[in-house]
Amino acid sequence: MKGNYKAKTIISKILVSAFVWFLGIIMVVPFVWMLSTSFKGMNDVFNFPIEWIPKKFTLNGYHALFKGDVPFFQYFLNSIKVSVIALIGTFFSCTMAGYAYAKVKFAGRDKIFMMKLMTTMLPGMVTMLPTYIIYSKLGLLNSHASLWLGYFFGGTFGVFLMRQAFLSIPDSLVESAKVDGANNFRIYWSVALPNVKGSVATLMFMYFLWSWNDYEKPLLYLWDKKLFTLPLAVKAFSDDQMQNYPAIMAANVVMLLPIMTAFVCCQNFFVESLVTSGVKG
Amino acid sequence: MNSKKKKTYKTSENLSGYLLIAPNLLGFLVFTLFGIVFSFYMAFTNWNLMKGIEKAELVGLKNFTDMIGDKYLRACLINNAKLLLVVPVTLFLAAVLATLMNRAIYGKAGARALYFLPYVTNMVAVATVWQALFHKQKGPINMLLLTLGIAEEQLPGWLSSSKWALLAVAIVLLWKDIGYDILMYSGALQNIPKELYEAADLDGAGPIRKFFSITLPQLQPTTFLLTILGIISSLQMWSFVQIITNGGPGTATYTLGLYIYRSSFISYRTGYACALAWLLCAIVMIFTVIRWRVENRWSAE
Repeated sequence: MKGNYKAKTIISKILVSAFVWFLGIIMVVPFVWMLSTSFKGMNDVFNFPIEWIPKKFTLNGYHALFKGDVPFFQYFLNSIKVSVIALIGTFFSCTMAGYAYAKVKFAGRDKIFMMKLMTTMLPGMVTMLPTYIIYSKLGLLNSHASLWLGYFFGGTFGVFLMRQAFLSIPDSLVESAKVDGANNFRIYWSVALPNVKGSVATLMFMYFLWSWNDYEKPLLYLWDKKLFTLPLAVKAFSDDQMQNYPAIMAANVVMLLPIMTAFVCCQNFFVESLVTSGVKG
Repeated sequence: MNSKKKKTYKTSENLSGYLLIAPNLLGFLVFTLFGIVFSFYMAFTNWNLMKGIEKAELVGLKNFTDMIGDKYLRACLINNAKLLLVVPVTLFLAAVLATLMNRAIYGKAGARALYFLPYVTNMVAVATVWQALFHKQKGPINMLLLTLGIAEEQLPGWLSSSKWALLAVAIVLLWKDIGYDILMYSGALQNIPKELYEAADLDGAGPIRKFFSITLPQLQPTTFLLTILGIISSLQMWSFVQIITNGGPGTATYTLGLYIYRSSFISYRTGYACALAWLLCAIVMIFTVIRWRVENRWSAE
């Protein structure tokens, strides 16, 4: 009787696992298709049944990336530059504000935070044009600053995430540092921050994702091709190349490589911390 | 502490607090609060982005009365309403999958990563890949349908047909977002007390019964949050359709967000675009309130 029960659970475990993995593999089929197409010749793209491993392997798609008027690695460098500056801005603005909203008792704190909370529902479309006008008056249009400046004011998701993280630090830790004569900046930097390393890593990963993948800001603010970051560059490239699918997929592979690497390296850790933090950007 | 010391302590708390939130507060004042006021004022003007703000004149409620006969807006609203249906479908599938994954399965972390991969990918890659997959004559999806025995003239045109384009967009959106919802549900599932399931086991309830009478009700707070966030992002989604179809064919995949973008930066009816953004804001508010009401009634029962 007991053995029967055990066999039953194992069979159900195998069935459920197979089902979940089967659907999961269907989820990533588009990526596999993208990767294999990037190594195909133009005439083999739509061969059916699909050649998952190209019979005629070629790098022509990747060569096409360097034929345009602006070489692709320029876009790559632009993306890296903007993302790095954006991450520096995010780190300071979000952790500082998060710490203050959580642990510093300044006058009007809760009112200010409440006001921020109320405007989180506001669709970004409402502030899209005012932001454009502010950037144009500051002379920031068609410059990389228009892409990274916003990160220095602290995104809503990041501030909320860090506030939540700092709230979980016991007050006694902060109080005892104060008794020892440390001021708030010291406490923020050398007491509080080392205690929320996990959340900081999640913060960095999510904002790297968003700044690297950002398509809307470059589309609105940039017109000089030399300044494009990868998403807009790949879109322009795919419009130029029309039916040259291997080249378009090669561009996609290059664009996704850093994100995928970061994701595979820290997915376990970061998936866990997102699961437990339960906030959405 | 004497009163003088207390006072300096308070001043220093205020000073350091405001210094620490200074960038955040500045951004909030300039981009959010000023933005709201500016955009609200401009919604009542004939502002044209090319001619500049200086030339903008107040036109009263004209932008709002113009909306009534606007057939583009009508098409957008119908499309947005249809796309909203993706939200509950995604959430239901995500809840089922998260529940399945929450059991002991082989390679749980790896499986979860597969579902999350589309979420970390950017829209341009997603759109260009799916454009090829949905290709009408040669695309893998239609080739597969062909081998499954669907007649060639009955194959869907997907992104190139005004009948199928919106469904194609909906499929891609579901594919892209489901991983995030699965993650959020996975977190929530860990907080459901095990005793509830044990009690159900004693009553002899099967897995499906347990899913509907224990799991789903217990996930309700997460569902509530994810529905509201899903509605907001669905209603203002624009760059994805701009990339994949640019609203076409015709107006088949035009959305309110895309219309606002195009009115601002392509046709320069910028004042009208501001008014449309406020319409979007109002719709978001209405849906949030409705969802809130439903939630309250639910928890009252």
